[in-house]
Formats: sequence, C-alpha cells, structure tokens
Amino acid sequence: MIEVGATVAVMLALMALRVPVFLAVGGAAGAFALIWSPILRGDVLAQTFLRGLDNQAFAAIPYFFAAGAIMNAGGMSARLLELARALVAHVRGGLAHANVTASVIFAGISGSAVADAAAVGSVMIPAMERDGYPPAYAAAVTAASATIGLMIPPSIPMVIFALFTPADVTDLFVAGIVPGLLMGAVLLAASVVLARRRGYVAHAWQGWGRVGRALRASALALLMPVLVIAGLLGGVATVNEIGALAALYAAVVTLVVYREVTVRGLLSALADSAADAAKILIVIAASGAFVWIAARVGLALEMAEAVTAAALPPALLLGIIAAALLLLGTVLEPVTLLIVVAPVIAPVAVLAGVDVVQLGVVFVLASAIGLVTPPVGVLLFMTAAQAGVPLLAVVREVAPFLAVLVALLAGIVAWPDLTLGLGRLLGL
Amino acid sequence: MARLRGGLALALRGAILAALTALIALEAAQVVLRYGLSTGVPWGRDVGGLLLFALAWLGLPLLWLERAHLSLALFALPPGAARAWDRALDALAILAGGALLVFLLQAAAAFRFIDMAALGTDASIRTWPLIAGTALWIVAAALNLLAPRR
Repeated sequence: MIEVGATVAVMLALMALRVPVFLAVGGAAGAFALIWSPILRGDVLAQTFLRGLDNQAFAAIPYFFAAGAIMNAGGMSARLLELARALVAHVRGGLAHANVTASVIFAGISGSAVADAAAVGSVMIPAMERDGYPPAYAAAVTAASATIGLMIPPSIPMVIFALFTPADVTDLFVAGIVPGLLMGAVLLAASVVLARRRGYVAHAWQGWGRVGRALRASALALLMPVLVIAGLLGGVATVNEIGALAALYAAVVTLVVYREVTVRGLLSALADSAADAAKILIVIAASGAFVWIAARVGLALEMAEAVTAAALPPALLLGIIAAALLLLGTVLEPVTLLIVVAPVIAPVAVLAGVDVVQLGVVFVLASAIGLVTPPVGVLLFMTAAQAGVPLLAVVREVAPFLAVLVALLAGIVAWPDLTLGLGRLLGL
Repeated sequence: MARLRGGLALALRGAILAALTALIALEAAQVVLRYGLSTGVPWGRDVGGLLLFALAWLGLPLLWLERAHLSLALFALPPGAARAWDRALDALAILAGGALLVFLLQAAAAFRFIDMAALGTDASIRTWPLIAGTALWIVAAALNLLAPRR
C-alpha cells in the first residue's frame, strides 16, 4: 500500500509542477520501478505502456472526436445556434438561454465540453456583448453550459469510464440523457432568474416559421445523436463501429449536404481531432503502468476490505465519492480523474452496493463541474480569453451556475432513478 | 532548425491524420462486410491496434513540439521563468525518452517470440509505433530545447 501512496504522491507532485499529465503518470511509475525494481523491471514498465492502450475499444475516443470536429467545421454550429435562438431568444435574457439551449443541442453531437465552448462561445459571447450583457456573464454562461457536453451522449468521458470499469457504454449513454437534460434545465432556470433580476433584454418572437426553418436546416445534425443511441440500443454495431459510422455520417452531411467546408478544411478538422484524441490516448497508455502497480500491490483488495469494514450505506458512500471527486476535480482534468481514479474506486464502490452506471454518471458530472471551478477550470480560462475579461470576473459570474450544478449532483446521488430510470424503462 | 521543426510537425500531423482516417475506414469496412457479405477482415483487429498505437504515440512528439499536452496550470509563472521551466521539461523529456527507448527495445526483443499469425509476423511489430513515437519525442524535445518556438 505504501508503494501506491508514494507513487500517487510523486504523480500529483509532478502534475502540480506543470509536468504534462502523461509524463507525471509515467514518471511516477518510473520512480516506482527505480525504487522497487524487483517488482517492476524497466522492460515490464515499457510493456505496461503498450498494454495500457491494448484494447481496440479505445478507438471509440478518436471516432467521436472526429465526428464532432467534422460537424463543427462543416457549418453545423451556425445552424444549431440559429435553432437555439429561434426557440428561446424571445424570453427575457434570451441570448443567455439560447447559449444554454445551444450547448444542450451541441452536446448530442460533439461529446467534448471544450469543443462545445469553442463553437458556442465564438459566436454567442460577442452576440451577448452586443446585446448589453456583461462580457464576464457571457463567458460564465458559455463555460457552465458547455459542461453538458460531457453528459449527453455521445460522451467521450463515459466511453473512458466504461473502458476502465465494468460499466456498459450503452447503459451509460442512456443513463446520461436525463441528467444531461436536467443540467440544461437547472442552468436555464438560473439564467432566467438572473435575467429577471438584472433586467436583460428580450428579442421579439419571430414565429414558428423561423423555428421550423431552423429545425429543417439542422435536422441532419440533430439526427446524429439519435442514430448513435438507436444503433447502440438496437445492437446494430459496437460502440467503436457506431463512432466510426458517426464520423463518416458527419463527413457525408458536411461535404455533400451542407457544402460549407472544403475537403482540405475537413482534413484539417480531422487532424485537429486526431491530436485532441492523442492527448487522451497517451495518458491512457501511461496509466497502464499505474493500473499494473495498483493491481500488483492489491490496492483494490485493500480498499475493498476497508470499505467493507466501514459498512457504509451505498448512498452515503456515493455521496462521499462525489464530494471527493468535486474536490479532486478542482485541480484534475476530467480525463485524468477518469483514467487514474475510476479504475481504483469503481470496483470498491460496486462491491459496497453502488450501481456502477450511477457511479459513472456521478464521476462524469463531478468532473464536468471541475471544468468550471478554480483554480484549474479549463472552461473558465477558455471563455475568459474569448470574452477578453479577467478570470476572477468569470469565476464570480459562474458561481450561481456552479451552485445549481452541485445541487443537481447531490440530487443524482440521492435519487438513483434520475440516472437509472430511463434505462429501466427501455429494458436495459 | 525552424524548417526542421515545421517539417517534423507537418509530417507528424499527416501521420496521425492518416492513422485516424485509416482507423475509421477499417471500422466502417468491418460493418459493411459483416452486413453486406457476412464476412470480416481477419487482420482488422491487429491492424486496428497498430493504427491506434500509431495515433497515440506519433501524437506524443507532435503535442510536445506544440506544448499542447494535457497539464495542470495551478499557478502562473513570469514569462522568463515559464520559458526556463519549459526547457527544463524538455531536458527531462530527453532523459525519460532515452530510458523508455531502451526499455522498449528490450520489450520488442521479448515480443519476437510471440507470433501474430494474422499479420504473418511476430508481435514485436506492436512496439514499433511506440519506439518510433518515443524516438521522435526525443527529437521534438531536443528541437524545443535548442530552438524554442517563438
């Protein structure tokens, strides 16, 4: 156990020193190999890097990145934003609501919060500023609503969670639908309350005709998440194959139907998505060594014994896990949290009676909240830069949204039906 | 140096793009063959694995060149200190990459005794993307160290 504690301490220390996550994880394993060399030889360490990624299912990650990137590059952003505006811009504070609504719709296509924030923020933050919203508020709404991207399927963090735990990715995707929509609902509620209190503007209702035109224009993009879920539920193909087909579908829609991107532009978007996927895959490869060490020293067994001895009710244990994840999420990226913490926690939690699918949703929501909490809230940095305002101003404005997301997390921990109910209805 | 850096980045970007495109094509072909001809690609799984390794491990030097790897930024450093720290990380990468390269070559030697029938070769081929990626990572770190990006 002391070996794992020392390895984790080295890993966290390296991360805190701005060492890239893959090198911090691999470096900590290297330090373990140096100190306890009879346990982990150098060539075995190298093999763990190979085994870390030795599962074809990991290919689902680049596929869903590619599908989202192609859709974003191919003119989908403008269409979905137009749909969101047509639906809610007439309500007081309408552009803020449109921002949240757009994120809910985007979430069904990209599966990445950063991609959502980039696509929505680049259009909505300047538009909100022109409408008289404080830039920091526009940045905060964009950052908070982009977190929905991690929850609504296809969700890349859920694919990662499924790969490191006994959870089934289809169950996770279905379980994420209601919490994802609830994230949109609570953020909209917060946005409505703030808009009334601050007297933000409302636009004139443009009629159902505009809604219909916007729906028609974005129908093919909206169809993608439906096809993904239907394909998985129908058992037509594996999650990998569905991901690859989604990327092909996106390419065909953008090149043949939308025709707003050239082949060169599409390839550039694809290369960007490959680089984004590589960022995650290399951390997964490096984590192979950490997983090997944890298994070798029997970490899960020791933790399971400790949890069994404590005899905690599953709901309380899940609450403690959620609180710990929120705390860790303030400094760790969702990917790191999912790759390093989930494989250790999940078996223990399942043994204690926690449903692994509910645990997955809690993991994803807590890590999504981490994206908008200082000091390492990536989305805060990103949208503050987009709006050209100090980070602290965005942190202040994001606080009400953060509060409703944390309240929703508590609700999801307390009521398993919020995550598991839809799956039961569908007979999963 | 700038030309070498640009050329390496372009080649690596092309390589990961090719790997991803090939992966998507292979996966889609498996579905088409399964439903269309009730058959499959016997070497699909092995080649898919190699392509996934190539995507991850050739992405490693590209992301290092662009200093784009996932990392925490708990505190802000003054520009001069940040540059110095980046160069220290480059030196660390060269050392870590060198050690990993040696270990990977040892692992490759061990894998020579495992057969990969579907590809008609031995399993050491699986270490090639890792070896190439690690070697290029060392080159990328050396380029960053000797000629930092402006």
